[in-house]
Amino acid sequence: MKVLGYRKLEDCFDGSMIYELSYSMPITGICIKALEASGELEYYSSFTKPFYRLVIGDDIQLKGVEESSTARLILFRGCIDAFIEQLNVLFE
Amino acid sequence: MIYLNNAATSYPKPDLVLEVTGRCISGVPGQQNRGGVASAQYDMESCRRRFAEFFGVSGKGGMVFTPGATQSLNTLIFGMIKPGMKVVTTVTEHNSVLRPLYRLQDEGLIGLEIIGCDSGGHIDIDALYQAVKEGASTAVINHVSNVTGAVQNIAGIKDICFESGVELIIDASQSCGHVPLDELSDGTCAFAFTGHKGLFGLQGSGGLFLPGGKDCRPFIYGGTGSRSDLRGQPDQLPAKLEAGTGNLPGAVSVATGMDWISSEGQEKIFSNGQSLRELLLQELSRVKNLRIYGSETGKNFSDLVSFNINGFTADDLAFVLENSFGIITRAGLHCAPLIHKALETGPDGAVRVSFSAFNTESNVLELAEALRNVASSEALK
Repeated sequence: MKVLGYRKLEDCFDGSMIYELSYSMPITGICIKALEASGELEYYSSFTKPFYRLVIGDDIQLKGVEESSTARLILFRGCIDAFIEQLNVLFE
Repeated sequence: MIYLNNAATSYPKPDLVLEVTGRCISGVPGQQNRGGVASAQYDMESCRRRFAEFFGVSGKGGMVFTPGATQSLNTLIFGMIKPGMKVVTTVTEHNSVLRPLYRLQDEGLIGLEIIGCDSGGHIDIDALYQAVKEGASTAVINHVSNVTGAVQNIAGIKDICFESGVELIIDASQSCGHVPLDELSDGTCAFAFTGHKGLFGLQGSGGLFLPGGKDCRPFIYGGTGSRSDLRGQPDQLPAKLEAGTGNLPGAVSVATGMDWISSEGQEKIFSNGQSLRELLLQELSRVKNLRIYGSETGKNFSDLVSFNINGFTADDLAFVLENSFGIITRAGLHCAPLIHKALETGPDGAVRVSFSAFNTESNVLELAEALRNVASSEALK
């Protein structure tokens, strides 16, 4: 599994950017668990479609639901391409 | 998918609106004083008559088409308010009111007073009275808050304003199709409305009403299809405030939405909205860690509710509702920052749920179940 691409959703007033990431396949519980290596991961398993939220310091938030091929990325600081590269390593 | 974001844009539209609007788009364009076909099935003037009939203001002033409430409010604010005036408005207003007024204030053209509201979003009538006594000459006030659903006491507001000769501009964006419009039907105050919310029309459609005898400078200048020899806009309504070719499919969609509302029965629609709101409040009262903004019941609220759940930002909660449970809501400040500040919802705002005639009790129960799930959940870390 890897991140195929992204599109910009919003350019926020606080300077952050919101993107939608596209995965090559629906994200599995195993891939979600792998995110833990890069930041603080919260996983809500009781929801109809389990929700995950990854927070990396003050710079990055990634959120989505299991079995979805997209996720929402909020980038407060940093480079999106570098983060996608980091995600692809985690998903390998 | 359950759609509960009707205060932003209503969905779905009634089949009648889709059918009639589709026929309008595919048909020969009607006349707009611009050489259209006189025999065309749809035309702006019949829509104008239906708009006026719906609001009960036929013959009481000018009904003007606009691309929506924002342009209507800008037209009324920049057109009716003159330099040197003192204007009173409220913390419950949308940015489509606040930003034009701030602009006039920042340019030093007007004095501006913004009055507060109670915990349900009902404005402080005593503060309005005081502002009027202290020399306000125009009041700009919304009919229904887009954050709490508070229905303002327009009759009382009119009494205060008109007793002192104060002009009143009402933002009816959230009231049309959701609450009775009787207090607008005497044609004594200017009002702005949009077509794509409770009236079930297309985005980019709306209008304004200007009472007879009231002056409003044009906001947009250009062709009217009449008196093309004049250097300026014709002085007569609606041409004075309607430069450019109008949005006929939009006007037809709104007029058809009004027809649909009338045929369904406005009382039935309002009553359904009230029942859904009351059921939701009842259900939410059993959800732990949830705070409602404006939790009172009764007819001085429209059919929308805003809330937050501890541990989730409004944005995350709306994301979860949409992506984990298939329920569309709206998070944020709802373009109404001052009421969020007054209600202390926090920098991220709140989640708003807003109904239409197409929502049902089972939609409410599903939402409540989802919220109970979220509020009682614990993250695995």
